[in-house]
Amino acid sequence: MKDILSLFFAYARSGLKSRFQYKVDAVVVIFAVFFREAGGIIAMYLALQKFGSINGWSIDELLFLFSLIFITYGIFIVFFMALRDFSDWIKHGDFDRVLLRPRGVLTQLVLCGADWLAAFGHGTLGLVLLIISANRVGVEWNVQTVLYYLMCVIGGVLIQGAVFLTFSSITFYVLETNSLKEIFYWNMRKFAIYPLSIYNKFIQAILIFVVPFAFVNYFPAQFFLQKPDMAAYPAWFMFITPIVGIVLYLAAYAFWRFSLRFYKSTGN
Amino acid sequence: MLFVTCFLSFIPHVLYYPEIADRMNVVIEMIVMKELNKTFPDNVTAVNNVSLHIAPGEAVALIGANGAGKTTLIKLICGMCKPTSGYLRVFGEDPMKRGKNTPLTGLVSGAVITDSYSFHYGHSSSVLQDDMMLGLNLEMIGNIYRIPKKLVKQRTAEFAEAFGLKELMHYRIAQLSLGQRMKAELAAVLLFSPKLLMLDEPFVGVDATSRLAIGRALNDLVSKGDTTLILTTHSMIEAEQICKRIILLDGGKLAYNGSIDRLKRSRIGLNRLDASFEDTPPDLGDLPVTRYTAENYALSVEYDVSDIPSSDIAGYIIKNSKAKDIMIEKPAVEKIIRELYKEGQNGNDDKC
Repeated sequence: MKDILSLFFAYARSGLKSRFQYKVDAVVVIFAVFFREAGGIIAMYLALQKFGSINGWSIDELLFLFSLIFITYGIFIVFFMALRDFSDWIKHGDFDRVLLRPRGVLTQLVLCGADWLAAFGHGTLGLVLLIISANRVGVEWNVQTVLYYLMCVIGGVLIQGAVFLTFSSITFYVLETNSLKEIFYWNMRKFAIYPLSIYNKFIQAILIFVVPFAFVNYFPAQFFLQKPDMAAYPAWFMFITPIVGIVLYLAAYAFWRFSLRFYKSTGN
Repeated sequence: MLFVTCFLSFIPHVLYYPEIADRMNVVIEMIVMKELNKTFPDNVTAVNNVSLHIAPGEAVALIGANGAGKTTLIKLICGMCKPTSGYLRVFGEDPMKRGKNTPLTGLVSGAVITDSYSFHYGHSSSVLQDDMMLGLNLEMIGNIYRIPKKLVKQRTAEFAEAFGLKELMHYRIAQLSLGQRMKAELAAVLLFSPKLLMLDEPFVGVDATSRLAIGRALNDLVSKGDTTLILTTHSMIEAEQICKRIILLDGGKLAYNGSIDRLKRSRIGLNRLDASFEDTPPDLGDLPVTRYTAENYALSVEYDVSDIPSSDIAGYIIKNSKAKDIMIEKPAVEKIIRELYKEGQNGNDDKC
């Protein structure tokens, strides 16, 4: 474990050093990511001024819902960037290098892909949203809630990690998974921006059982906000995000280990 | 004594369990191939019934025309693709096994393909990470292979000097030229001195001075005896310098497998002597030469050194005529290989 940590820091250091070789470029990237994402939120914020609320959720409560997506995504791209772009790794032969090194295959992928700059952008935005919204919606911070919040963030990161680990495993069979990612991750993420309860049963089922984004932000947010629309779902859904994360990740890992043996090098 | 008992107690197991026999092979053989075949889905047979052994510490040149199956063979050894049929063991284990403790990735080993040709196609099985600076890349390799920091620094300085990489340390790998990149890759490889090193065309795009430096570095590595080297190249000069043994592939088949010296001696190993004269060339008459052609003022002789030493022919010529200039050429491996190819192709034609 200590060994892996030191490798993680070595990668972080050299990755950041390489990115900050062009200092202006690096800073611009951070701000670009921040403002790109923030722009979308501002647009939505303005639109919501007209409605006032969506299905009983006020603007501030929606921002709290958002903040979970951005914070988990910010941490997600520190650890799972290589899995997000895994088909590129295979196409460019970078995965061959990983296979030939005396460290765990997934360990290397998780440690060396980190996109710190984008992570700063997303993470900062998430934190800003959290700070703005948490006070206004009246979240009570004590040891228990802070602890549960952190566990939900970890769970949310693991859920998204599991989704991409599954896509990466599928890449061993079909090589190209970008359209799958588009449908099952990016589109679902767009849905997850709004409260789950506004959708029809079919999309709700997908968001709960197939690509469980509902456990990344909706159910944890319900734990803190206690909105009436939670009545439509089992109450214990609010408490299981960390477990969902761990179980899904382990399942995805098993599938990954199984699929790894089907990998064939591309090129030539 | 303990050793002997241990060894003896193994023998019955070896007889009954082939897996253990495999494991015992580890001690002896680095790579074992038996009737190995690889046919791609489009029915191209890249490797056709190849059987060979490579011992640890051996340096082998893998030679063949474009499309002869060299790269496929390397990929098979690395476990990058699965053989269609046949038996293949690297370090006594199946290279298709994946994970932290496979023979190729085990702490004691570490194999590398450096495929410069493929750089152009955006596919490279390289050691270095594209978007990272060279100096940092070398540091990272030190981290990954658990090499002490002090040693990394010392060796990096050494290779930077030898390969002229000093000024390039702050460049990202993607910014390097093909030749610079190859030198950087080699420096990285030499940093962790792998047990098995596979180099696919390491001399492409490298200038003359660096060729020498790379050749010398590889020679040093091989002479230490810890590294098994498989070198794919079209340049026979380097192959001859570094490797004692040559494996010639032709259309996926093994065309020759043995020492370069033996190849020279057994195949058309004829020396060639060219001489020019002030008047008519001498009559070689009863000298045991293979063939000769005489023109007005020139003579060209081909002969086997085991039949007659070069000095005898030269002496005879000088004694019996007014020779202006004498030039002796040793048999070139390139030529022998060209002949072998030709034979192979003719053979194939016959079958069709």
